[in-house]
Amino acid sequence: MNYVDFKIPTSLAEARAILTELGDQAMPVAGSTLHVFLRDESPKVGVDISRLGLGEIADAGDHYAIGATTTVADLHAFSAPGWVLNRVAEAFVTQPIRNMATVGGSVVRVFPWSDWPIPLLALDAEFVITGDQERVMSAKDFFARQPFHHLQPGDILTSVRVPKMPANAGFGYFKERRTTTDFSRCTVAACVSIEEGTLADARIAIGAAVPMPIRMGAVEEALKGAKPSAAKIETAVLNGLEGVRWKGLHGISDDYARHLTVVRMVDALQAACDEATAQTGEQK
Amino acid sequence: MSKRKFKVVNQPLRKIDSLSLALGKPAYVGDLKPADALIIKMLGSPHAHARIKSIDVSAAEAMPGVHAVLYHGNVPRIVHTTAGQGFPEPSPYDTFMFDNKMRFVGDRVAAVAAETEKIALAALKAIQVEYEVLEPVFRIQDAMKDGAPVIHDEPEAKAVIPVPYEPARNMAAKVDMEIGDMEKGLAEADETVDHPFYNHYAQHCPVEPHVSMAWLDREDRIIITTSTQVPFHCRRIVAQTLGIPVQRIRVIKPRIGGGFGAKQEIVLEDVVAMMALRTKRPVYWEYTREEEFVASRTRHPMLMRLRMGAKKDGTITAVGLDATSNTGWNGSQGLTVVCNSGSKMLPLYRCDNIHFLGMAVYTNLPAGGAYRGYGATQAAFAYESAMDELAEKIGMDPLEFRAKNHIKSGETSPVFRALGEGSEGVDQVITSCELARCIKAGAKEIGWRKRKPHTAKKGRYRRGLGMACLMQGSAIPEIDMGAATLKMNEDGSFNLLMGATDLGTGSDTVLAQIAAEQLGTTLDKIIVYSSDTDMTPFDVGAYASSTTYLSGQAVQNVAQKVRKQILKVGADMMDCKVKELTIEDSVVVRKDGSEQVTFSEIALYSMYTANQFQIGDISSKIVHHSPPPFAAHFAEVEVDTLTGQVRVVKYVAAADCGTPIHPKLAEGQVEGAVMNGICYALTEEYLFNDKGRMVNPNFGDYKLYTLSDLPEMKTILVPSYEKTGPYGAKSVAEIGINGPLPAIGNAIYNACGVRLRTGPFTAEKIWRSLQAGGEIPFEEGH
Ligand SMILES: Cc1cc2nc3c(=O)[nH]c(=O)nc-3n(C[C@H](O)[C@H](O)[C@H](O)COP(=O)(O)OP(=O)(O)OC[C@H]3O[C@@H](n4cnc5c(N)ncnc54)[C@H](O)[C@@H]3O)c2cc1C
Repeated sequence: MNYVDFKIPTSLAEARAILTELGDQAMPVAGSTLHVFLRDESPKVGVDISRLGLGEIADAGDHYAIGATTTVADLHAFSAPGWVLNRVAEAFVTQPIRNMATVGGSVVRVFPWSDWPIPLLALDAEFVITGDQERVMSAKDFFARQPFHHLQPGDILTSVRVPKMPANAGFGYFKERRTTTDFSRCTVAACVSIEEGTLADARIAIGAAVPMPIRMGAVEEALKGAKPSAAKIETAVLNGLEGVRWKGLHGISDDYARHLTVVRMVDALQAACDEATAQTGEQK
Repeated sequence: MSKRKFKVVNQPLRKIDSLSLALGKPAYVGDLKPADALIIKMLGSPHAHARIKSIDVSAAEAMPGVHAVLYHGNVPRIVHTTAGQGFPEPSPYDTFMFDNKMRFVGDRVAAVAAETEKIALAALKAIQVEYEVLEPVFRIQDAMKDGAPVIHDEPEAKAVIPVPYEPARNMAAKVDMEIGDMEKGLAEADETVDHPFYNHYAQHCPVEPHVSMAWLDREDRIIITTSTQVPFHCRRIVAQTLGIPVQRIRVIKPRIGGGFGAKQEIVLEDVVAMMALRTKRPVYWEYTREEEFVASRTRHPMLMRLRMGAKKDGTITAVGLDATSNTGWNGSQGLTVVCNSGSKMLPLYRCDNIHFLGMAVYTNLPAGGAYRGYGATQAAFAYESAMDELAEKIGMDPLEFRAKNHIKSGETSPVFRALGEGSEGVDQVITSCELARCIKAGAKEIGWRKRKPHTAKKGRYRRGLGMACLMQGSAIPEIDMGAATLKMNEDGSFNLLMGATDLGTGSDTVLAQIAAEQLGTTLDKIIVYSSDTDMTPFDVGAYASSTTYLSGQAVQNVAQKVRKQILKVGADMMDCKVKELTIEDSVVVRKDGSEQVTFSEIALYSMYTANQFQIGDISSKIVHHSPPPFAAHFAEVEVDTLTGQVRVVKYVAAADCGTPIHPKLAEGQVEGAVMNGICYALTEEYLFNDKGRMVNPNFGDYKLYTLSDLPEMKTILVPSYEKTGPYGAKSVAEIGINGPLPAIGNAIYNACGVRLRTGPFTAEKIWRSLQAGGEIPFEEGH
């Protein structure tokens, strides 16, 4: 990166005004960790958005509203009913990067190996963008292409809304890497809820082994209303892979990327079902 | 067993440079950079094999802020080796400061020295080069074919010692040795194995990459401050490469941020010296991580064939090891590394019929060099995997098979004489070996008794136990020389000046402990200075597991001489005979307790009072033995048979390094080497595209363990007493890296029946092997 100036606004309105005025020449800076990977050498004005009061996690009834500049370290430390993102944060690189990287910065530009889009897709999160007007996008729409393309100069992602996991729900998350500091080669997040012994809802998203993170709709459909058995899960996964384009990262073949993801999809769904079953068991 | 109680030696004292390093005081080359230093940047070849048809540096030279541009057209063309080895070097002379032929992606095209890095990088872009692209060759097997592209076709390429060298066939080195009759031994065996193995590329990954700077002093001598393991070889080779006298060069080695063998090479220093001469300004050159991967040195990848035979009773009847290394674009350390594949592993087990064929082959890939383990790592993988396979075939526990056959104290091996460093070796009888106790202690710690065959294991996650036995050497006998100077100051402190090169290992502390023990003083009284070619006596440098054993003896000798001088002055002062005196805690005392003088009083007396002279001396040491350290390594792994992922659950390393002079530092060496080896076994991997460009030259993609990946690890020091070593010490620095590849490989087999013959043991390879029923077809990798 080639910063020629750095602005430190203290309100959202001020930040938006600077960004709108400078257009392409400016760039919001949250945790700034992405700069390691950006090859852009054109002169830029950095606009610090970490002091706009967007760094809190609020209980908003049926969901948690995560301010976009909340750090991954804070997502890690947060604990509340129906909150599972601490598990995702746990597997996110190292503490120094957790301390700096923000949730917003982690979803606005998506790399094949990015962690956060996958659980946020599986959890049906929503993304609040503040521009001239505030607008809300579903995770599916938000990640349908590179999210920064949704943003006009001056637009800021202000909040991510993550529905609370209901008491009868379970979450499964797997990230495959060679070392704790490694990029993922396959990330899977699954979220299910069980009602009276059957799957009332099943959501599963995958990433890293595919060019952009995606929800596995066919797998989800096959599971809804079914009894959560190992055999059922496996069949649903194996029958629900059509149309997926597999891409092996970091020296693994496309073939193996597919195989690994299939195994971990089954694992994640199973873990989620086990957790949901245990939860419903406890309730009784 | 230790022979006596020590006061300073064998104690975990504070590492003498630890506080200043912990406080971040300026210690490393980068800390010492003058503010006005010009920055050097190198233009690397985009082609793996090419000839420069034309090059125009005029636009770069004309850029404001650029002070000099070097390329093959404006520097001396003097053939040499970059290997920092004893003279004449066993590595071929096949390298020039700059050449018009490019031999790997990243090869030196031209260097710029400019006021800033930015200007230097811009100047590199302004250099116009036209290449004639030549056909490259990347694999050992392809490079050896008739009609393969010839990498060193220049007439100057030559060997400077009488060894086979055929650059026209890409053969950089060859050694062939037979003891007894291997074929006959194989025929006598009840069971045999015959398998290929491939050791992959790896880099040393020191935290501090190669970094050097140089300037001219007021007498126009070139002062080079550099991160090197071999300051004296560096001085000699730079003088040779520039065509100037050694006298004009001073090499200073400050603190070093790791070397592991990579810095046993002259990689930057010729260019910084030349730039200092051309610009008359201080110049500074630091490799980027990408350059460190590509243009410094690597572990020699090796293609091996291991044949072995044994009788049902466990007697080994034959061993045959063919080892061919990919030495890359130059032949640095090619001969000696491959010789070590034979000499550092083949004596480990008794056998009358041994054949060893070693070769080093040029390719258009990064160059191999010295790397911790130095050929033994590669051989240990093949040999210790084959030992397991053979044990299974004869129906013996692999631990028992090893225990029955390994060399013991009082025994010798014909391999010691037959294989040296490019020439014949040196006979030696093993005078210290606690390998049997290492095996026992390690087996107990890992729980070997509960080991079951893989066929008895079920379920998705399967655990397995594997082991490997290892040996290395301690210095190169009849070749390596070290020296030390010791002088006394008036407060009873001592300056210890050594050419021995602490590269972060703690050898300054270890050598100071030896001096203090011998003198009868404490560690804090020893002021260590290492190494500076103007100030310290010669030492070959830090390699071949030599520093404690070799330089330690030089230090012990000089301390002995100085101790005698101290006693003599003490006797003069107290008017008695030397034999009536002894030394206790920096005080010379009469044995009857009647009188004493302190070290400080002695120093003051000898400087100012009577019979004045400087208490001090210099000693040199050349070693006649290379007593091997021994080790037994054990790994417990868990394999996910659905994904092929392997996790090291526990790793046990039991090591006999003689007397550990500093037990904590010795443990640190073992643990560091084991971690280094685990990464080599599981995650480290050079990925090249089809043009020979490395595509993962950074720590984001080339994976090393960090402390958070550490498995449960247990280091057990099993001391022996090596009577030829200083206070019973041998060596410990290299041996530990040789274990993980075979021990983990054997454990994977024990877990799930998969035998891997090429590293690294990636999840995908294990998965594919499981799919294939235990083994995938062998392929030479990178
Ligand atoms: C060594 C290293 C390893 C890493 N490994 C991984 C990994 O394995 N998996 C993983 O998921 N992540 C990983 N990351 C983190 C990840 O790549 C990003 O760097 C990080 O998530 C970005 O967060 P940030 O807050 O630092 O964003 P910044 O770097 O500050 O910004 C990132 C981008 O988003 C824009 N932006 C940020 N916030 C907003 C907002 N609120 N509204 C509009 N635009 C915004 C910025 O303008 C910029 O373009 C790693 C990072 C490093 C340094």
